Amino acid sequence: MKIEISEKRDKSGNIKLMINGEATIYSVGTLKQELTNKYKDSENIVFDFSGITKIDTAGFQLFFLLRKNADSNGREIVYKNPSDEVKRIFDLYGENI
Amino acid sequence: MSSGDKFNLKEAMGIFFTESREMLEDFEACLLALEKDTEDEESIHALFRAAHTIKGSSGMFGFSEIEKFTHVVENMLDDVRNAVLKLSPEMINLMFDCHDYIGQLISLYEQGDSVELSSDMLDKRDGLMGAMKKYRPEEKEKAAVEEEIPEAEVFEIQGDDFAVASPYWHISLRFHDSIFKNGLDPQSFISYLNEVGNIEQVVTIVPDSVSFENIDPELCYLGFEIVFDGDTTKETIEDVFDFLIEDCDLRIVPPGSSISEYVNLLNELPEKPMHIGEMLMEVGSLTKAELARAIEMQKEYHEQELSELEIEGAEEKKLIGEIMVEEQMVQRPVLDAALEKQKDIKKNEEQRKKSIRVDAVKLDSLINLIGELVITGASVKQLAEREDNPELNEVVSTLSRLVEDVRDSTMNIRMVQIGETFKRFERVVRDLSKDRGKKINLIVSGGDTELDKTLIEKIADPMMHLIRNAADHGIGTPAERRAQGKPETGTIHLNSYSETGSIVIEVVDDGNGLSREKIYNKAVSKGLIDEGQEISDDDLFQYIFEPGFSTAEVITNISGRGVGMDVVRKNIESLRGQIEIESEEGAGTTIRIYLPLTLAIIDGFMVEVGGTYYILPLDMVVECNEISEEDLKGKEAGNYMDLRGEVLPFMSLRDFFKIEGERPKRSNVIVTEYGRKKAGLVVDKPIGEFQTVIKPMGKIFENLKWASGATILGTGEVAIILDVPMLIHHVQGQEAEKSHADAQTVV
Repeated sequence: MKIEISEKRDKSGNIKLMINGEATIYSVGTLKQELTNKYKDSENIVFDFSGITKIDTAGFQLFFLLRKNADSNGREIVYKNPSDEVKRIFDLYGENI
Repeated sequence: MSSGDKFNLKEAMGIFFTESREMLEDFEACLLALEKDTEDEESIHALFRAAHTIKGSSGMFGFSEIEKFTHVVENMLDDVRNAVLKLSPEMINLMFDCHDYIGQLISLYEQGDSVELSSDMLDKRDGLMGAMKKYRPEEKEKAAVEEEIPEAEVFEIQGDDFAVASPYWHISLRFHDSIFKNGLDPQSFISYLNEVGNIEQVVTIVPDSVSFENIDPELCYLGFEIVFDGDTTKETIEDVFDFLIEDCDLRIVPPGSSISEYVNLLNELPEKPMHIGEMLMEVGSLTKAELARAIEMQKEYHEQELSELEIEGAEEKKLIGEIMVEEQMVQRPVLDAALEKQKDIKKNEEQRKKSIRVDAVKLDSLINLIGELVITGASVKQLAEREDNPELNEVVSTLSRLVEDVRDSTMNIRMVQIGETFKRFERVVRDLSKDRGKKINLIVSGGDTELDKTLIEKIADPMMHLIRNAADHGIGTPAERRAQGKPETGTIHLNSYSETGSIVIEVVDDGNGLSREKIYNKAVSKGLIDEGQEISDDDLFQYIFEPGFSTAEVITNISGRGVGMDVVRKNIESLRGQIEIESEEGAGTTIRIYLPLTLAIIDGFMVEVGGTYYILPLDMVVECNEISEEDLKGKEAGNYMDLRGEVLPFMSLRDFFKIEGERPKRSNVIVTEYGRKKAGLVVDKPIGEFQTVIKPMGKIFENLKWASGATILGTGEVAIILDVPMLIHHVQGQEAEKSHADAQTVV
């Protein structure tokens, strides 16, 4: 049930986050905390979901809300390289990656 | 019942017959009540329940004739209690006939294993079924009623309500926030939908107020609107979400639904209608035009609801106000009456609930045991009295009292209120009046007078005959009565009360009364009395009880053959009772039955005559006096003595029993009373109070009219229990013969 966020910042200051592990009810608490504490709600982030091995609706909810609110905050949140798991749940819930 | 007992079918069947008969009694009582008041809701419901119960239990035993027939009755009564049918006199008559028929069926089943209906029964059955069929509302009408209801539940909108274009299902899901914590994930369920059909579209929805920052990530804020294509049923879709059902709100709008369905959806969903509406459009369930219309309708409905509520509220207030002001005064007595009735009903119900069924045989053996207990107790008392031990006496005294209490309580169990028997006659009177074209009203009083169970059973037949007589010969037709200046409706009054040592039952009618002349002539023609013989009314009327004596001009199928009254008297006498007739020509007749209150265990008064012990029932003993030798000799006119100014006929038991031997110097006269008649019985020595059990004496002694039984004393001796009423009767009769004076005074 471990989730790991590894961060990469490029020269332009763009943040790239790699999420590895399981994004489920067991890890969403930690995930939200990390994301809230480490990054300002103005910063743009690009997520790489290739490392997500398992995701449930709780995990989906988190990412869904993160991106949804971002638009209104003038923030850009982008999801890339979804693993099969991620693809499936996003498809199911009618959300584009 | 031990745990090894198998289910006793025979026993259960016995219970069925008993209970079904009780149900039928209730049924009849309700019908009688309804005849007087067709609006009696209580009785209507009780009627239905009775039929329903009989149907059910007869079905259990496979008594199909009863079940099938009662089922039709039940249906008819169901219609009545649901106000589909209104109760009419014809219907009530029909129900009476059905009641009788069911009773016959029950008897049939009770008798034999296989039940075959005779052709008479079949005719009856078909006739009744046919009659009941006429009351059944048409099948079509019924179906129409059933169809109407679901439509009425759908919210109706004025104006055009049309079906939406979308051929798909619309499924709306909202979740309770703890769904994740409960270990549930909607993912699996929604994806399962794809097994049942095809998910066309899904849109995720969250409340506007929810944002990434302010949520608790472990709670669920999501909802989904799903467009689903599937050739399936609403139930099937619901089944998919069965496990979730506790934690979510599921709404399904089937394909081809009307706009109003979507309006409902808009109303029900938590989000703003516009918001949802746009979703619906986004997802394709509604077209733009449909949405516009839906929003419009939704607004209209909302406004209408609001205004309606306002009006309702205002109206309600006004109404209540009015009622309070205007009808408050009127409602009070109605309310009180209703409360009283409720209390009565409750009391009856409580009484009914508090009783239990007891096997009569068990009760009898209990009474026997108590009897033995009484005898033994009496012996203990006698023995204790001989010892001069105050402590012992005290304890024995307590013991005697307890035994007495136990005896009284036990005897009480067998006591039944006569009112129950009286009630049975209501139906008889009703049928008789109908048959004979007369109007007869039955009044009942003193129903709470209690009699021993066996007495009540045995008194029912004689009473029935007397009532039939009254209805047949006593009370005339409405025309006859009018001519006599009497009210058209005749009255038969059943009354009961207790007197010294006896229970009195009266059958009073306000009919034609007995014709002294006719009876006199008949008695003469039968050689019972001489022509010109002087005779009092009371004595004359007693001849009615002679076999074959009837002055009826027309013999009906019920009475008039002259076989009835002598049987009645025989029955009453076998119960050691007496029957009296009072009548006034043109005014009416009163028949009075006296039944002695002799129970198996009695409080007695023991006396000694010539070395033998006799027992008199204590409650018939009034006093005990010494009598001088002079008084004993009697007067010219007969054996009378002066009891403080009262004339008291007496008889010496020594003489009566023809006991030889020397008379004691001092004798005692026991003044006894029964049914307002007194007599003195002269004995050698009074002994005192003595509680004992009456043991029957065996067939040899059947004709011994003056003994009602015997008992065994503690010493082992036998004491005879005297039948005081008989003795009184004898004494009075003897003295009447001796003197021509009218010794009988009947009030």
